[in-house]
Amino acid sequence: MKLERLTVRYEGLTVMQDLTLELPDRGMVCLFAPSGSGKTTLLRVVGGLLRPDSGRVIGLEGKKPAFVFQEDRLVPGLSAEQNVALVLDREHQPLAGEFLRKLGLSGWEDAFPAELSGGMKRRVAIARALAYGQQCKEVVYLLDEPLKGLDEQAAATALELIRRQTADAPGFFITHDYEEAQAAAEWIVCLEGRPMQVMQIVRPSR
Amino acid sequence: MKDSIIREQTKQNRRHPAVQLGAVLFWLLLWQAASTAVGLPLLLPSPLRVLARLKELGSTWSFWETVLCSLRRILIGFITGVTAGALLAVAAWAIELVEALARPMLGVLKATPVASFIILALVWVESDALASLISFIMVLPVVYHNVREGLDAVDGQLLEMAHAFSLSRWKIVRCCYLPALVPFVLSALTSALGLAWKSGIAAEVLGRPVRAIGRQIYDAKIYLETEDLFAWTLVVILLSILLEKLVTALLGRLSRSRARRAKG
Repeated sequence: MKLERLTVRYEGLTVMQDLTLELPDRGMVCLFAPSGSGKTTLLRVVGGLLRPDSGRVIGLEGKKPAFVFQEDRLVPGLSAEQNVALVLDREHQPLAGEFLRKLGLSGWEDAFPAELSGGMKRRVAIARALAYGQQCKEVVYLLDEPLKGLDEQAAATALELIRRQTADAPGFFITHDYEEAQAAAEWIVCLEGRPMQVMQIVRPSR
Repeated sequence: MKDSIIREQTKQNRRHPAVQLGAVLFWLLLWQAASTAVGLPLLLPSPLRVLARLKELGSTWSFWETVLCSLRRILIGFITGVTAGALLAVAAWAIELVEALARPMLGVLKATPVASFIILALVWVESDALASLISFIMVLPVVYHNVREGLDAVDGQLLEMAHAFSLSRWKIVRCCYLPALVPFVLSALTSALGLAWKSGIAAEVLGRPVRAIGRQIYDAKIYLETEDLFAWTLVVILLSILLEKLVTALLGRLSRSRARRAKG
């Protein structure tokens, strides 16, 4: 997988200029950078939601993006389980309840987003991405601060599940927490500056 | 916080049925007193006389035939106006050129007095179709603006999520567009119905088609049958309230069944 000479300009600002990055075909890559540096923009480019002004992403052709967005983006009129099931085909519907239970949301399947705490909504968003990832044969996980707002125990459970589920697929994981980055990723890419540049690539030791 | 709770309670007290009934009774008594003071039923009949006349009218078949014919005309205008307004709003939202073309036309519709339309339309259509046409013209801009606003209110982040997860078109409509549109459509239908009803009756007064409430009002005025004039006006008011309640209840039931489906 390779990001080749990516240039993105947004509202007169050059977010990245000729950003090039070669990455392994599987395993989670953590994008570690200060707030507002353009990590989310990079994730949107990789996921095909934003077309770069120039450059291209190589090696993800045909892969479906499984997003955890920075915001939970749950449908307010659907229950937790229905929100996850929404992105699944008929055959994979049982995955919705299964992933919610794995993330500690047993008994909350029928609750609407408004009835859930911030951390619970986050877990529904994670369940949606992981269930979708399991359904798709070819997938790239794009997780934008997935553990934001989770308490320590819920974060540990979610992180363990994310690692297990995403081990065989390429993925990106955004976080501000270096310890979290070390725990989650196979590779940590430290980015900085404007336009955003790769400062360092680290392989965390476990 | 405490203040807002107290304000909310006061608001609820004001909406209490007993308070509302008291207010109606107050105005009826005032009407009765004014009628007694004037002493001329030809100028201002008492509420009791009007009610008695209404009862008398209600016992005839022609009364119900007249009411049904007026309802038919106005509902045709209302339904076609709602359909056209909604379709035009969707087209304008999707195609910039349609919006550019629609904007001045709707501006003119909004600014023109209903009487001008009625008199103009009398030149073009038969008096029987006049009420439908006028209701249509009044309803269309209201529905257009509300549906257009509803489409703008669709959550862009949810839409992006839907596209990212490759949701089907039907799922996108059901989960992103419909929930955003429902409140705007509800408000559009309620206000458009009131408008359609009032303008439709006004069109009947001026167009005077056969078997029409508006014609009855006009004839009552010509022949100085003030009790009839009041009785027919009362029919218009009662039907307007009844239709509004009916639409609100129907739409309320629809939204409740949507919520139940969502709960699954």
